[in-house]
Amino acid sequence: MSRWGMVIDLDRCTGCGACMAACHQENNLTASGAAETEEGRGFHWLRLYSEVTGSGSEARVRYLPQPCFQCDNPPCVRVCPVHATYLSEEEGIVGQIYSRCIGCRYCMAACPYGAKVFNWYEPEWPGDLKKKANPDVSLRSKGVVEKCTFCHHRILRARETARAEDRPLRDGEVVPACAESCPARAIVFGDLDDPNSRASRLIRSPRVFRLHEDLGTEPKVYYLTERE
Amino acid sequence: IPVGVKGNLNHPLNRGGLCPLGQAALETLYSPHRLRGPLEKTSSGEHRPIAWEDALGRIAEVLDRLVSAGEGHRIALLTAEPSELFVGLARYFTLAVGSKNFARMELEGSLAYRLTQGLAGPPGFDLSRSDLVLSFGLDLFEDGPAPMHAISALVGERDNEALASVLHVGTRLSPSGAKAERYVRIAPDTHGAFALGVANVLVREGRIDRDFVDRRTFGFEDWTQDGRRRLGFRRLLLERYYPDRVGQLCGCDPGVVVRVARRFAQASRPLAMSGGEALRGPNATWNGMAVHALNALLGVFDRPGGVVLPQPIPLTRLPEPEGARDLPDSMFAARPQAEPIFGVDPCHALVECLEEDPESVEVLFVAGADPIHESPAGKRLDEVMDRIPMLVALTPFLDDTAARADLILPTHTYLESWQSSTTPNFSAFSVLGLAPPVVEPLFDTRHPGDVLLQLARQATTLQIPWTSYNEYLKYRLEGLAVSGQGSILSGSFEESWKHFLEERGWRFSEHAGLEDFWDDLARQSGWWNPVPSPADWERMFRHDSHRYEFFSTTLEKRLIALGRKIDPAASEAQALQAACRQLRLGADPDEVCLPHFEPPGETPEGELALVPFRPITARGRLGTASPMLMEMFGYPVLSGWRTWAEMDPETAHRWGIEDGDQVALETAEGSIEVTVHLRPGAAPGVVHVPLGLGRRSGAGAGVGANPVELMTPVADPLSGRLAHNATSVRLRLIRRRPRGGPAPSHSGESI
Amino acid sequence: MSQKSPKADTHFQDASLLKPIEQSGAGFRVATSLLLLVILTGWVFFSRQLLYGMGVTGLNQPVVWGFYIVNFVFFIGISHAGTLISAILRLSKAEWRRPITRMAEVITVVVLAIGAFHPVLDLGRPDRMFNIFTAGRLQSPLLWDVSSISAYFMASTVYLYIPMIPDIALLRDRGVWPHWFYTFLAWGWQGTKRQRAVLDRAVTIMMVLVIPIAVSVHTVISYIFAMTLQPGWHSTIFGPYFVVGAIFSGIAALLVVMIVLRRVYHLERYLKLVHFDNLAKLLLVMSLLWFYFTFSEYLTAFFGNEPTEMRVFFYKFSGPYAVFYWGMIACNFLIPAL
Ligand SMILES: Nc1nc2c(c(=O)[nH]1)N[C@H]1C(S)=C(S)[C@@H](COP(=O)(O)OP(=O)(O)OC[C@H]3O[C@@H](n4cnc5c(=O)[nH]c(N)nc54)[C@H](O)[C@@H]3O)O[C@H]1N2
Ligand SMILES: Nc1nc2c(c(=O)[nH]1)N[C@H]1C(S)=C(S)[C@@H](COP(=O)(O)OP(=O)(O)OC[C@H]3O[C@@H](n4cnc5c(=O)[nH]c(N)nc54)[C@H](O)[C@@H]3O)O[C@H]1N2
Ligand code: SF4
Ligand code: SF4
Ligand code: SF4
Ligand code: SF4
Ligand code: SF4
Ligand SMILES: [Mo]
Repeated sequence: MSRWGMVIDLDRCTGCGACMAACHQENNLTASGAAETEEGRGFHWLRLYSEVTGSGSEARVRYLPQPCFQCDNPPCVRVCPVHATYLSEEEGIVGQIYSRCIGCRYCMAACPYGAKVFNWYEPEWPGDLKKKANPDVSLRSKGVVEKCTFCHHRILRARETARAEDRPLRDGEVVPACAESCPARAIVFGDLDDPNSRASRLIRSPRVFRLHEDLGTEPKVYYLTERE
Repeated sequence: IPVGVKGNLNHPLNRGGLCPLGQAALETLYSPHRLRGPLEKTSSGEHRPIAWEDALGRIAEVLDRLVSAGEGHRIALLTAEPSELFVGLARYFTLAVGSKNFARMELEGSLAYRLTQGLAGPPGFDLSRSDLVLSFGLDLFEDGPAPMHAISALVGERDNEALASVLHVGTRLSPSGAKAERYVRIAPDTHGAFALGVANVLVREGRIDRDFVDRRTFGFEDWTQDGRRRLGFRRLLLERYYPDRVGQLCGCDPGVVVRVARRFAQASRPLAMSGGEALRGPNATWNGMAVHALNALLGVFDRPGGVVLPQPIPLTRLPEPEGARDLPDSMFAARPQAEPIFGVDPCHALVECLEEDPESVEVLFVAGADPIHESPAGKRLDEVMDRIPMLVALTPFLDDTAARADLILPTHTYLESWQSSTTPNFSAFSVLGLAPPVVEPLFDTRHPGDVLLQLARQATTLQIPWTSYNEYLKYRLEGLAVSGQGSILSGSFEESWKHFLEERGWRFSEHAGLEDFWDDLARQSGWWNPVPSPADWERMFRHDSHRYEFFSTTLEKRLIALGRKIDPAASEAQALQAACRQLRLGADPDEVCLPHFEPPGETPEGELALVPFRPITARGRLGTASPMLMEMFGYPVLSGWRTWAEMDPETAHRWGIEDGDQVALETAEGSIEVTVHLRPGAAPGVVHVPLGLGRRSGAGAGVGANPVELMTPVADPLSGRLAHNATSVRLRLIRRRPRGGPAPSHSGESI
Repeated sequence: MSQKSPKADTHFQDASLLKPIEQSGAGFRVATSLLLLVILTGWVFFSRQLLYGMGVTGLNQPVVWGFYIVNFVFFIGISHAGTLISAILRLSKAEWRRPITRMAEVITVVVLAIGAFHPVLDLGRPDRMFNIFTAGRLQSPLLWDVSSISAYFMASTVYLYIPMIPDIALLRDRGVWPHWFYTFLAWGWQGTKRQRAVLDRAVTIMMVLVIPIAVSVHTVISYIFAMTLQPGWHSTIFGPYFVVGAIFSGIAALLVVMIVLRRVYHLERYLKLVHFDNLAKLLLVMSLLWFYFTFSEYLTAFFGNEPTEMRVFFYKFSGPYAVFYWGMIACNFLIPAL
């Protein structure tokens, strides 16, 4: 039993895009292509927003990497007619069951953060690209919704290792692809139920905030920043 | 079959961080755009498959003919491969065929370091221990020599309390500017002026390291030479670069100049660095000199967090091929007494040679480069390419240059071949990366080094000591193995360990022999030497004076030589005058040899200054082969698969342009179509366009637009490098953002 | 048009009402073929959607629902014409309703079927549609919808059918083809007193039942939107707002159908100006009510001045959707009110 959470330090994030790319490769995302991107159907589980404030020489930019927030009170889960998206008891992660999803996109309409993407077409793997697919992550088909899974497969793998070695999971043992690739060490992942995990300690920082806390969605992705 | 690529946590440069390009390694490997085997051009201009042996045979035949006729100099080789080790071999090969016509396509200028420190390339900047970086146009985090290293050194390795401060001076609020404690917005190509303003304040307020300036620099104070009073840097600064004037030149508040100077001087381990847009204008070299002068004024050389020299990697030195000494000068070499006076842009040189004498080049090898796409002289090059009877392209993907080639020789992507890399520019320590292939080659491809060596074997007239690239690599690494210096990367990478080693000196574990060393090196994927050269001013400042030269005697000598060519009887002073007139420089001769501000061309009324930039997704040349990189190409403005243009909202408003509008940018050279994204913080009157897309052939053909097509080739009169931001463009609205179309960029709104 | 059935003349004075059922002219055949053609085209395009994916619909990332769901809301809205109006009119014993109710009820059933089909078209995986029954989650407003629409469909079909039994019997008696069909549907109607009493009772029960169902349907449909946290959707006014809008559009649809039928089948004798007059009054009332709700909806958004709400607000008032928004205001309020 864990409640996985993520802390992203915006004061460290340089907007380099490594996390976005790592997520693509790790989770078998396919590109939607030029025409589709033009239609606003670009395919990313983790989007990197840049917020520009001020103007002229006073302008400032802040980058905001945005995966699925794995809300503790997920509006997307509540609306699904077929239980194809659910909040897992064991990990606190909002999962997608690709094989059950009927593609009504209600969960997309319900997610206030735009975290989900829909397979408008059959995912394309031009050339031999399919050969590089990560065997730990299932491929999706057209007509279903998908989103960031907090690299669930990595959690499972770490749990297996720990079990094989007959010991509890250690803090810092599970590292999602995005956090792993981040050169600025801006992404910290950990169990929020463990008060001593690094993530738990970080969310007690006075710099912490979450997006749209007023909605009561209880996101498990926390941001840190000095600025505002 | 590899299914994932991860950063190497032990690697001293990126510490596990892997930029989008690195992440795309597998996509480039399996890319549908890969060339599957050698191709030859038919008489109708189509490409058709040809066997390797036949292709190499065709080339070898021509090489033999030229070599035996003593016409080796009609062979040329152009490369943009980053590996020093490959470059060494390519240069050796060129010399062996009897030609000095070897050139690398390099973007960053390093002439400023040659003029001030006598170095061939930039020194090291000890980022990880600096506490403040004053960056001039250098997009360290996306377009620097090693962005992942910069992020890791300035942010990733540090505690939050100890994050390095960055002050960014430039025209665009780039990711590096975004991370900066302060972003100073200036007009294009005025970076040098701003640096001189900072220098003025440092000098005026007595914030300089007087001891260093007195003992280790030249040209700070006025001096007399043959009865002539020569201008010193100090007087130049005080007379010309007071904050009010600098504010005017740069279009910024003079108060900012003072505040930046004070902040810079108060830091305990400050560094000033230039790059990117600051070094892509026609006044690049002086901009670089002006910025580097700040380091000299504060005397930050040879100290932790300062300017250091990494130890050279003790590779085995390459022998010189027989007769190389007596070969005619390289067509790419600077011609003494001609302008530009220190070098020429290789593409520009190629065009000029072919225009002068259509038969000057018989065989041109282009290895891992796409000059037609990348060079401002690319269009002209495209027009004269026909005059080269045998254009040979070595590349894993079809590109604009390969599309013109008579023979396309497909090379491995990096996961299929031995990879070697050497100390990147600016690194404070020396590092050598060596990585074995991860997969068997997917297609009928070869390593470019092997291609050259096989050619040499097939040609009867060539003698090259190595039979394979691996053999060559081992030969070069033998020097490293026996040197006992540095260490193979290993173990956990703890900070304490690193510091321990640095304090205690360093010991190298013994290896049974070269093979043992090689295996260990490849297994750990690299070697490094974290200890910079110890204080040795003769290595740090390599001019005869062994001082940092504010006043560049090297430049003065070249100018005099140029002046004497115009009037052989001229005195030194007269020759200097004449040279400056010839180069159409505005400043007086003494000033020209000092860091000074050479005004760039004016942007005509009704036009915008074009300032291109390279987003991290356009790093390297392989990006267009990866669907992922294309999809996330413009991720900071939430766009993909297209070239965009950034403008400040006020500028856009004046032009009647709104966010998301489709516009044409037009110059006499050409026209491109881009989507406008309003980005507050862009300098007024400037349009920023990302490089990287707009190929006409091969991977990514027809996607996006190439701003290089708009550029008039204008060279820096000193380095000869073609300026990227010397072009002004007209802007024409094509169509408004479709109503209800994809969301425009997020500006000023919370999400 | 051409021949007159002598039987009709002698037996039944309102023969003109039956004519279109008893004979089909060339016009009918042309119209039917045209409509079949439209359906066929629809299927062709829908197969493309099945084959390639939802992408062909032109929907995109922030706008995940569009055409189909809008149509769904629209058709279900119109369906209120029907049963709801006729039930209210019957209940309120408005005698002028007689010629209208049947028409309204038919609209309901037909349009409801059309509307209910749209969400299926909108599924990324229609092949898995039955997951709704095998893995349905009643907590999802979508399931509320499925339930209430099915209930409404049943109720209004029954409600259409029951009062129609005597009329079907008439057709049976006149031997209209297909005879077996009408015989079956007439359910042994002989017009006895007892039969009449049962029928009246059944109609009354259905009448009372159908009103709350109808109201619930459109309320529930509005919940699909209102239960999300989307700015501009997440609002309590959505239930009544949708119901009013539905009745409003329902009446309008009814009027349109009345005008068309009156013209085509020359029913001037039955559809009199008084009908139009009364319906128009009802329409006006609905228009005013609708405007009142619209006003309330946007006033709270505007006054609360929440940033996200305001973005939606300005998108509609002055942004890319302004044309549609003001068009809606004009057609739904200004023009009817004037
Ligand atoms: N990680 C790691 N640690 C090790 C070892 C290992 O293999 N790996 N090996 C261990 C072993 S076996 C040893 S012996 C120790 C060696 O560890 P140390 O005794 O620290 O030996 P060095 O680092 O070789 O040299 C110490 C210092 O002496 C200075 N020095 C050189 N000549 C003179 C001189 O004439 N006079 C004075 N006063 N100073 C001089 C050098 O410049 C250097 O700064 O390291 C031990 N630590
Ligand atoms: N360039 C350079 N050379 C030096 C020095 C220097 O500072 N720089 N320092 C000198 C000094 S002070 C010393 S002490 C020597 C040390 O020189 P060496 O004795 O050669 O020391 P190492 O290379 O550290 O280790 C020797 C071997 O022992 C193996 N080994 C490790 N553990 C065990 C074990 O339990 N059993 C067995 N059988 N083998 C084991 C290791 O894998 C390694 O192959 O080097 C000397 N040479
Ligand atoms: S990898 Fe790290 S620094 Fe780069 S964009 Fe992602 S969070 Fe920011
Ligand atoms: S962020 Fe969106 S998709 Fe993710 S759990 Fe929350 S509501 Fe669901
Ligand atoms: S799209 Fe799939 S996951 Fe989302 S609500 Fe519909 S069935 Fe559930
Ligand atoms: S946690 Fe995993 S799935 Fe989620 S954004 Fe990061 S890499 Fe992607
Ligand atoms: S910058 Fe170059 S070396 Fe570094 S991760 Fe990216 S591709 Fe690899
Ligand atoms: Mo030792």
